Amino acid sequence: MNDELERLYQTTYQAVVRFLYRKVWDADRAEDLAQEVFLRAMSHRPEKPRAWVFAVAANLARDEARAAVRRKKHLTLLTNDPGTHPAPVRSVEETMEHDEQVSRVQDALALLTPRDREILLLWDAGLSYPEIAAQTGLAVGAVGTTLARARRRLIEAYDRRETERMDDAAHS
Amino acid sequence: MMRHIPEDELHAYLDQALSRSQCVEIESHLARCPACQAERDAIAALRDRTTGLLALLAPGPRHPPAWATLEARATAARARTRRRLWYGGWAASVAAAVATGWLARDFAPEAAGNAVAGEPAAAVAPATVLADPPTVVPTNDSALPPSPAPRPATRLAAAEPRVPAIPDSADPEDGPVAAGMSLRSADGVLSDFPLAGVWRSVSWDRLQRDSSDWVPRVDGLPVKEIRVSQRTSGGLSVVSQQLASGQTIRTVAGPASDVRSLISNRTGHSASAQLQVDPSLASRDDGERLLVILGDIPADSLRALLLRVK
Repeated sequence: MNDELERLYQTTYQAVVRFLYRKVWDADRAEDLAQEVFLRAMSHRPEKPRAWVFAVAANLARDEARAAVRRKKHLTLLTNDPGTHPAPVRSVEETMEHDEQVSRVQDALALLTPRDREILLLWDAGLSYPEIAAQTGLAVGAVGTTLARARRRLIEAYDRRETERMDDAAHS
Repeated sequence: MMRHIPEDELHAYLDQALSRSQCVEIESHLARCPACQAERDAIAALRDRTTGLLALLAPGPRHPPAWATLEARATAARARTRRRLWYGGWAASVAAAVATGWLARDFAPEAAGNAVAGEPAAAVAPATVLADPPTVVPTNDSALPPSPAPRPATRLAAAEPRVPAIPDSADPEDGPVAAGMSLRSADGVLSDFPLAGVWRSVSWDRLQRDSSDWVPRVDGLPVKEIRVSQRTSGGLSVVSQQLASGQTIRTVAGPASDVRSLISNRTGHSASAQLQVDPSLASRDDGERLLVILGDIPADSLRALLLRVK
């Protein structure tokens, strides 16, 4: 059992951190929570550990978001965390462009409904349709429909932001 | 007129989420339908763009601690929990002893009076109940529930011996009891689901240990709270579980008449909540038992969950 968990840890850890990061927007916190998830998995020994790990990660992220609201730090969720991205050598312009792009994706993601966002992030974390269905309570057949809508809306929202930015730049 | 492939099926096809026969069907259609080919290419591009944009939202490569480090942390955490439970149990015993002493002093004349009236056990029963460990065992790192305040709790215990009751929050008469018996779970998951009668909470750990205490629930979902009626011999239970979306679903199971009256009595629940009654489950148990799942999710999702009830 622990061997299986250890294998899961080796193969899934980065995906769990990424999944959590996209919810809490703090890389260190995401990593703390990911480790907490695996610690819990060790004591619970779930039957389907991969799906279980993401279900618990989603719960922890939700608790974290609530705590953040209580601490009135929710504004930090919307700002860019400069310490959390890989820092290849970029010019100032490139860095600004990259940060703006990141911020646009964050905004676009925030515009999705919670369910569409959850399913998109679970898919991107590597879960299969049946695993997503099991976790969200959706019928398997509805996962494709939801993903189709979520992808379309994400791109639409992102492109809309892009157009607004171009308009702003043209007017300034 | 040839049927074109629906958008969601093309997504599922590209996500490799279809069966082999479905794939063959889609591929044979694609081979002769330029419109669907174009649609597939557009969806593939949309899919790739989505993946590319989400890739921007990554925290950068992290270096996970060695598995052995994590195992050592888990072992240390378990040892801490054991110590805390031990201290908690010790503190509860002290509280019980103090309460017993207090009651002995307080109720002595009353007990003497009762003895005359032929009810000598009144002052003894509360202490037994207090010394009993609470039914609720904390499932995470929280400490044991606070020790009961002596007087109201013991008065309840005398009225309902051997029942560490979870009072119904909707019943104002139970107010003082709630203050005395702090067994309610911290987040009050069932606070919007009034339960009449006497209920107890069952911890997840206890449930897993004791297979005779089986409570029907959806397999594979985290359990938030379990309550079992004390009064129904047929085992009436309400289990709250959380979906990844954060929504709570509840599985109510027990004798059909009890489940029906519980469902019809419930108030304050969102009007859009959907109730699914599965006749096959009801008939499976001689038609006398009923299982209901409640939740603000689509009916087909509720039905899918019903199939996962163990």
